[in-house]
Amino acid sequence: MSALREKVSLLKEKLLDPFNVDGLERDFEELLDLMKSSSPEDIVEVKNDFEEVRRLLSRNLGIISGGLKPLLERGQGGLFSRRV
Amino acid sequence: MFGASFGIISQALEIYRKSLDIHNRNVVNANNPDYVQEDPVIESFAPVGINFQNVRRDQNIYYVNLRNSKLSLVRYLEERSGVLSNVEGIFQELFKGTGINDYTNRFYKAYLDLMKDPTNEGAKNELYNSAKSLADFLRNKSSDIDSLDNSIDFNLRDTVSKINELNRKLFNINREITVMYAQNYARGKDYKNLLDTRDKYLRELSELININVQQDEIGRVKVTTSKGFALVDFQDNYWQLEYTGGRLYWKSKSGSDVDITNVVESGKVKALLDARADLARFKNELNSIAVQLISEVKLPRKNSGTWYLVKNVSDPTQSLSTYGIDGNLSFYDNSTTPPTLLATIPSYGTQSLNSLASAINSNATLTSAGFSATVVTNPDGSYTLRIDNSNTNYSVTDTGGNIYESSPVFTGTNASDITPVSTLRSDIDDTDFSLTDTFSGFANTWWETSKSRVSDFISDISTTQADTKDKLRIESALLESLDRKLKEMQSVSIDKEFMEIMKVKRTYEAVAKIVTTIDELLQTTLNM
Repeated sequence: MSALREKVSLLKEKLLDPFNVDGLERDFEELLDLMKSSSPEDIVEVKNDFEEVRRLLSRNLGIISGGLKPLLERGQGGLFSRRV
Repeated sequence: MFGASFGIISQALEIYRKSLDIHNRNVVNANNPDYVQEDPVIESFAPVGINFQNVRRDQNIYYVNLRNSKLSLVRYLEERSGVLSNVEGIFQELFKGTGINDYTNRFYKAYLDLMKDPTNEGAKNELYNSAKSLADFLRNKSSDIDSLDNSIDFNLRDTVSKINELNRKLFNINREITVMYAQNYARGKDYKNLLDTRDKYLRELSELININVQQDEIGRVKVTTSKGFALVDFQDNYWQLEYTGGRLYWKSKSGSDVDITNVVESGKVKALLDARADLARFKNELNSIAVQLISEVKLPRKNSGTWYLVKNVSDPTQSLSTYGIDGNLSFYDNSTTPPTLLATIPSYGTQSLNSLASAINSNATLTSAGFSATVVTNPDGSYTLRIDNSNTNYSVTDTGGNIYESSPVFTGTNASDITPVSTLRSDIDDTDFSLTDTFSGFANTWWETSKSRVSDFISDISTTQADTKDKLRIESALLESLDRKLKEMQSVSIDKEFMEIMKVKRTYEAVAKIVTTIDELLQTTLNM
C-alpha cells in the first residue's frame, strides 16, 4: 500500500470518532505533502477514499457545532441545564 | 437572636444534606447509561443565609438526541445485517459444493455430458440426479426464505407491540411529571428518578423506531417519528401503531389509519420492514432462476409425441420473424414408405404464435391425423408453441431449426414447486441422438442465462450485506463515540466542556483550510 493510500485510510478510521482530533491537523498537513509528492495516478487512486474523508469531516464539524449550541445557550434557559 | 441563628444553621445543614444525597446518587449511578449526572445549585443571599435553588441535570441535549438517532440507525443496520447473514447462511455460497452456483453448474455439465455421450448410463444417471438435486435445492431454499419471512413477520408484530407499550409508558410518565411537579417541586423536592426512567424509555423506543423528542420546561416529552407522526404529546395523548398485511400503520385519533411503511427511517421496525422487502426481492430472483429452468430447458426426444418451439417469445400476437424465428413446417405420416407429406406451413415467421397454432388446428388433414397445437404460457411469462400427436407414426420437421420433438426437464410454477418431470428418467433414455449437437448449443445458451441470474442473485445478497456492514461500521463507531462523550461530560464542568469543544471545532476549521488546498491539488491533477 502506498504511503498516500495508507494515510487516507488512517484518516478515514480516525474521523469515525468526531471527538478525536489529536494530531489531526498534522495528519492533514502530511497528507497534503504526500499528495504534492505523489504521481497523478496515485492521487487519482485515492480520490474516492478522499471523498469519504471529506464527507466524514463535514459530518464531524456538524456534530461539533451542534453540540456547541446548547453550551452557548445554557445561560439563556438552554436545554443543557434543566431545572427538575 | 440565637433562635434565628439556629434556623439558618438548620436550613444550611438540610441543604448540604440534600446536596450530599445528590452527589451520592451520582456516584452510585456512575455506570448507569440512562442516569444523568446532576448538580445541586446553591445560592447564598445575605443576610438571611443560603437557598437550594435547583438541581441541574448535566446533559447536552443535542448529543442525547443525536445518540438516540444513531442508536435507531445502528439497531436498524444490525438487525438488517443479521437477516442478511441468515440469507447468506441459507445459500451457503461461501462453502464450495453446497451453493446455488454449484447445483446449477452440476446440472448443466451433466446435460452437456449426456449430449456428448447419450448412451452412457453414468451420464444419464448424473443428469437425472443433478436435475433432482437442483430442484430440491431451489424448493428447500424457497421454503427457507418463507420461514425466515414468517419469523420476521412475527418479530414485526412483537416490535410494534413493544413500541405501543413504550408510547403508553411515556404517556404515563408525562402525567406523573405533571402531578409530581405540582405536588413536589413546589416543596423543593425533585423528581429526577422519573426523568431518568423517561430517558430510559426514550432510549428503548429509539432502538425500535426513529424518534424526535421535544421537551417542555417541566420535563414532559412530545415524541414523533418521521414526518411528524406523533407517538406521544404533551397534552395527555398517545398513539398506537399497527402492523397488518405486511404494512405499518399509524392509527389516528379519528379512527383512520395512515400507512407509514415507507415513512419510518430507522430502528428495528424499519430494519424488519426492509428485511421483508429484501427477502421478497431475493425470492423473486430465486424464482427467476427456477422459472427459466422450467420455461426453457428441454431434452431432444425420439418418441415424445410433443414438438416444442425451443425459443420462447414474449408476445404471442407478434409475427415470429420479429424474434428471428422462421422456416417451413412440414407434417409427415411415417407409416408409409416413403413417408407421406400431410401438409406444409411455409414461412411461418410471417405468422404470430397464436395464428400459427390456429393454422395447425384448422387444417382438417392435420387434425384428422391427430395433430393439435397449443400456445403454452410459460411460468416466466413467455410463450411457446407445443404440437402434440401421440401416434408415433407421425412427425414434424422444421427447416428453420426452431421446432423439435422434445420435452421439458422441469415442471412447476416457481422455486417453491419446481420438480423434474415425473417421466424424466425414461425421457432421458428416449434422447434423440441426432439432435445432441443442436441441443448442446441450446444448453450453452440456457446455462449462460442461468449463470447470469445466479450471479445477479448472489451479488444482490452480498452487495446489500456489504453496504449494510460498511454503514454499520461507521455508525457504530459514531454511536460509541457519542456514548463515551456523554459519559465523559458527567465528570467535567460545563466550562471545561465548552473549552474542549471549542478546541475541537478550531482543529476542524484548520483542517478544512488544508482540505481546500488538497481539493485544488486534486482538481488540477484530474484536469491534467
